[in-house]
Amino acid sequence: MKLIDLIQKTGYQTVSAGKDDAEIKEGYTGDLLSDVMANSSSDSVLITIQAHKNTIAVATLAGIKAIVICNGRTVPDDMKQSAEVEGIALLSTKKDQFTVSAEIFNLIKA
Amino acid sequence: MGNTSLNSTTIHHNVILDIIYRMKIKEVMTKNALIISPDASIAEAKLMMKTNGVSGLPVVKNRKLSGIISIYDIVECLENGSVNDPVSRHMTRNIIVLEEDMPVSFGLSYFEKYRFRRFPVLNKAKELSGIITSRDINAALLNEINLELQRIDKLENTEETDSVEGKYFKQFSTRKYDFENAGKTSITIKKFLKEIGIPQDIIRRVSIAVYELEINQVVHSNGGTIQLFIEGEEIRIKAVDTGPGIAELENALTEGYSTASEWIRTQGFGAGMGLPNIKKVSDDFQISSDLIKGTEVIIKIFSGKKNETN
Repeated sequence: MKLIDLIQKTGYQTVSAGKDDAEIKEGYTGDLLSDVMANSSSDSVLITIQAHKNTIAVATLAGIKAIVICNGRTVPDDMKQSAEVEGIALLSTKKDQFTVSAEIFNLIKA
Repeated sequence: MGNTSLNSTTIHHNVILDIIYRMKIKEVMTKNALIISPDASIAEAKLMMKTNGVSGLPVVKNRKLSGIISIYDIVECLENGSVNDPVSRHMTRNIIVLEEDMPVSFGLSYFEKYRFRRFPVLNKAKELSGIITSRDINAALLNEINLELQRIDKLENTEETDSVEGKYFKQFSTRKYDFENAGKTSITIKKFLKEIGIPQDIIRRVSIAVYELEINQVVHSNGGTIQLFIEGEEIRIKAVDTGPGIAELENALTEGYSTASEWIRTQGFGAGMGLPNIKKVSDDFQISSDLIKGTEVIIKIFSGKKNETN
C-alpha cells in the first residue's frame, strides 16, 4: 500500500509527510529501539509510543518509512525536524498501539 | 586543518557538551532545599519565601513531594483573600521532576521545554533530594568550563577518512550520554556503504551492528571510537571505548540482560539486546573487556555471504 493511501485511510494526524509514494509492505509494533532495529522489516510502518529523535535514527537504519506515535504522545520538535530531513512520515493518533496495529494490519495484510 | 579559529570553536563546543553530559543533576542542585508542609498556611509560605529570598517552595510530607507552591500562587491567594488556607489547596500538583542521576543536559532541556523556573529533584527512593534552578546550572557550568579549558591540550576529530584502491577507512567518535547524536555514526556509514555499492541486506546488518555499538558506547562507556575498515569483501568494525569495562561479560551477551538505568530505558534503550543483536548479524564477533581500560569489539561482515544465523 502506498504511504499516501495509508495516511488517508487511517486518518491519523500528519506531523511530517514523508514520501507519498513509498510502499508500505509490513508493520512492526514496539517501543524498545534495539528490538525494533533487530526485528522490523524494511518498507514498513512502526507503531510505537517512543516519541524521541532516536526513533527516527532507528527508522532510517531499518528502512522504516512511517512511524505512528500512539496514545497522543507529544512529538518533540527535534524529532519532527529529523523526520523531515530523513524523509520519514511521522503520524500521530490518540489511539493505543493495539488498536493502531489492528487497523494497519487490516489495511496492508487482510 | 589549516583554520585555527574554526578548530578552536569546535573544541569549545565539544567541551560544553562533554560537561553537560558528564555532570549529574545532583552535583549541581541545591541540596537541603527549604520545604513547606501541605498543612502550613499560605501566609506561612509567604513569610518563608520572603525571609529566604526564594520564589517557590516544594511541598513535602513524610519526605514525599506532593506539589510546589510559587509566588504566583501566593499572589493569587492575596487577591482572593485566601491567605489562611492550607498550602495544599493552592499548590501546583501536576509537577515535573528531575532525577538526581540524570545528566545536566536533561535539566537544560527541561528548562527549555517546560518554562518552569525550578524543578524538584528526586532520589532513587522517589524522595525529594534537592531543587534545581537554571541559575544553579549556569554557575556550575561556568565553573566547570574554566577547569576544563585549563585541561585541554589536544584536538579531537569526529570523523576521519582514508581510502586507497578499494580499501576504505573511517573513524568516528562517540561521547557519553550524547543521545542527541546517537545514531549519526551508523547513518553516515549506511549512506557511505550505499554510495560504494554494497548490497542492501549487508548494509542493513552493518547498520544494526554499528548502531548497537554506538549506543553501547553512549549509554555505558565514557565515550570511544568506532572504526570502519573495508578491504575487498571484508567489512570490519572495531569499537573501542575508554571504560569502564563490562563486569560480567557472559551476562552482557545474554538477551534481555541490561544494566541500564531507568531514565536510559525511558529513552528506548537498555533492552538488553545490544550485544546479542550485534553477534547475530555478524559473521565474526570478538569481544574483550577490561574493567579499567574498557571494551573492544571487533566484528566482521562479508559482503559476499548470507548471514546463516539470522
